[in-house]
Amino acid sequence: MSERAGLSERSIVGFVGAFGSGKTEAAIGYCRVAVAQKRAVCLIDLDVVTPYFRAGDYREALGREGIRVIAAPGGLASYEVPALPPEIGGALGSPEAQAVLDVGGDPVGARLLGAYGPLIARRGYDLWLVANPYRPETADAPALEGQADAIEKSSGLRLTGVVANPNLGPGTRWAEVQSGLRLVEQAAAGMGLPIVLLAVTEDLLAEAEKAGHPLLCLKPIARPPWERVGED
Amino acid sequence: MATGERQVVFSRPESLAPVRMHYCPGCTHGIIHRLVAEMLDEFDLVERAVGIAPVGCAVFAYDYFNCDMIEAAHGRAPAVATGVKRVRPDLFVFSYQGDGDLASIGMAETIHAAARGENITVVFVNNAVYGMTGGQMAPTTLLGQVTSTTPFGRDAKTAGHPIRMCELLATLDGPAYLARVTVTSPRRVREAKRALRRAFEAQERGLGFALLEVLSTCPTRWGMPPEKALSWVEDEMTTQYPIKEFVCAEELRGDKAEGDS
Amino acid sequence: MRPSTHRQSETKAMPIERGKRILMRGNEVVAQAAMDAGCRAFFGYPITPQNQIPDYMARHMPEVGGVFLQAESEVSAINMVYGAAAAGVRVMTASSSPGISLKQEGISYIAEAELPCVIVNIMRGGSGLGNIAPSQADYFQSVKGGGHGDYRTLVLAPWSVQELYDLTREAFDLADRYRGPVLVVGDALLGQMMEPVVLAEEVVDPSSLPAKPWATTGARGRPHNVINSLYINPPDLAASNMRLQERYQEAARREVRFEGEHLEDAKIAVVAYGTAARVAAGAIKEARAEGVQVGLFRPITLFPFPSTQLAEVADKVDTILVVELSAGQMVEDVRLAVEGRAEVRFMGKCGGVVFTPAELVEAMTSLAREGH
Repeated sequence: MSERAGLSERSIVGFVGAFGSGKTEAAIGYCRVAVAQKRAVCLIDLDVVTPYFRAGDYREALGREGIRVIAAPGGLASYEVPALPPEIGGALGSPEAQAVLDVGGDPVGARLLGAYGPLIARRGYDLWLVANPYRPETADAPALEGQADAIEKSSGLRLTGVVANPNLGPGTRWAEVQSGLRLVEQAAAGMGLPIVLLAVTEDLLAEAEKAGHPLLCLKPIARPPWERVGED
Repeated sequence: MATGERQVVFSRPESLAPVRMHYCPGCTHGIIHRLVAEMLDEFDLVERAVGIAPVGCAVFAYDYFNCDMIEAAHGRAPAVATGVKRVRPDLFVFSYQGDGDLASIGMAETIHAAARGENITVVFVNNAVYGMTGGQMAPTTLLGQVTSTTPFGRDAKTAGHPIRMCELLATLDGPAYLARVTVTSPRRVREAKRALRRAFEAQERGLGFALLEVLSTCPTRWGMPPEKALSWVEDEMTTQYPIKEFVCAEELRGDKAEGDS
Repeated sequence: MRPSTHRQSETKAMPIERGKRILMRGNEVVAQAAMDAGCRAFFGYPITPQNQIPDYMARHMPEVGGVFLQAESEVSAINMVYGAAAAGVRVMTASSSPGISLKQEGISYIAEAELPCVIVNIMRGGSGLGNIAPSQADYFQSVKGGGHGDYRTLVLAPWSVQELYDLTREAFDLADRYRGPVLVVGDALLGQMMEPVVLAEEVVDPSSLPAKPWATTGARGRPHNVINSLYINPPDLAASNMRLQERYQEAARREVRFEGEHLEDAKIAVVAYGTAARVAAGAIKEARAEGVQVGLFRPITLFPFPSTQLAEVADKVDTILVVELSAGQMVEDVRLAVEGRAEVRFMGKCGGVVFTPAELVEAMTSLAREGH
């Protein structure tokens, strides 16, 4: 794998997709790879759809890992009043760090990109569709293609790649990843988009090497408390 | 027909249960019930109508009609009617509500059912007072009117102004039919029946929300003999609440709806 | 029931896979379970953290020819449920704590009028506006009646997304069997989390359900039906009240559900339901690895409460540790069930704060050190 395999060379890279497709975890995983490769990134939480499991909720933990997070001001994010801070415009225009966008679910969430559309287009961007075929709303190629189409329409931007994220949550087996991946590959081919990343959890990395895609290692940050047994 | 043969020219509508009503002497609820029953007969609805009774003096309306009936919580009849009509659009659904029920505690339900153009028929009996609970001020109580909670007469400074429901609802796009009538004389009753026919017709044709406001008497709570109560409606209430058709969908202006009886 | 046709839409049916694992959010599963149970009407009002339930219903109810309607308020939504239930249809509403408070008037009427329906409460922190974090502080409201009068609701408390699916489906059967409202309670965590779930291959065809001869569907060939909760004559209301009480007693005999884990050798029994039980189960595993003899007793029906079954456990253990995401509510029912057979301790978190497994492990080990 080359040094920059899987990383976008554009100023801005956005993660979009259906509700619950794993956009936040993928965006965080991407930032971790970038930081490990000494690339400056800034994670922008653009999810104003669901007030749970958003990147902004993990600002402090991610800050300790060297990932700057721009999100609604602390505290506000956990109320029901999602609001976008003005720093977003600055970060999108800044040449100092790649802006990594964690966009809200479905076309509803992606609509918000329209507000920054001209700026994003001027700066140059990648827009990646996070696809999990184990989610009922994107369970086959036509559904994924429909989702992609609707997101492009509502955001006013073009998709440039697909992040395959076939999983059933903790304990997903490799065979399940494989069969899900086949579906995503089929959908991506249908849309004429490359699979830019295959996202898997750490325990499946070795097997995933064989799949022939750049890999993104996920260490889920949004976990319910019962998955934290044995931690202090 | 042969001369001298006797025939029935007037009888209890089949949709009206043969029971004694509880309403006070001189109250016009009985007339309004009868008009509703006549319409249920005329449209042949008794086997597919569901009526929603209110909380208020008409609370026992479920005993007076022969169709299926549901007793709703205070003010919630339009929501209950919505629940029935949405899952069974083939049924004819009407509510029968007083002024406290419809214009005070149930204002939100009324306005939103109207705004949605919910395909139901609402019979709104406005007698400007809470009859059931002891003659308190209603949202439609006139300025200066004495009630148990406005013992010195309703004063707009402290008790606000009366609400004109038809005028309020007429600002919305949902209603297919809105009219105000009264039943203080045989002529008025005939006019009321014509209007009620349109309010039924609106639902049967799927045109949307229909509401008929009927100015009614409450001799008991107004403290007036029945005859005086009837003139009070004409002299005082119709000034504040003009007798008028506010909304009438084009489709309702046909021959059937114009028919007299 | 006649299929409702006035809301048919062009929506393409979702290619949902049944009989194999898929990944779904708790709230989505609630909505899918309802439709799978033959529910054909949903009336709701937006409130976090249950919004994916109405969102999902709005998208998918038209596919099965059902009714979705966003009401003007929680009050209206529950009264629309009252109307649809009176018309004999399987119907549901969902909300979260403050919204459930608003529904209490309607729930009381529905209970006394003997109408089946399902109400889902994805609980959040209270009192008042509180917050949108997970909480179990609506236990009293759920199991003691909630609104005015002498009624109860059956209450089911799942702890996983799969159980949310299974119990929401079952809630519709229970509602029909006991002719009353059935409450399914989760919390913000359960509603928002995603887990693998297997949707049953068989779905209920509403036309196959037993007829409801009491429903107000038009008085054709029968005397008119009246749906009512007004009984002016006290002995008549007493008879209606007692009819409900008899149903609750029957439910207590037939429907009590609970689960036990590691209770065989336990000296400490943790009593917890829903999310709190899920955290406790993980902590128990770890405490046992440290040699603490601790087990879990998990009520699945909160009403009827598994009192007899818990009393049997209390006979065998030294201590009962009640773990709740509240300032202490279920603990009162536990004390009533245990009746002094064992010492009852309480550990609660309120305001939307959730236990960490480490905190619970610490509580268990220190209880064990005390010699319990």
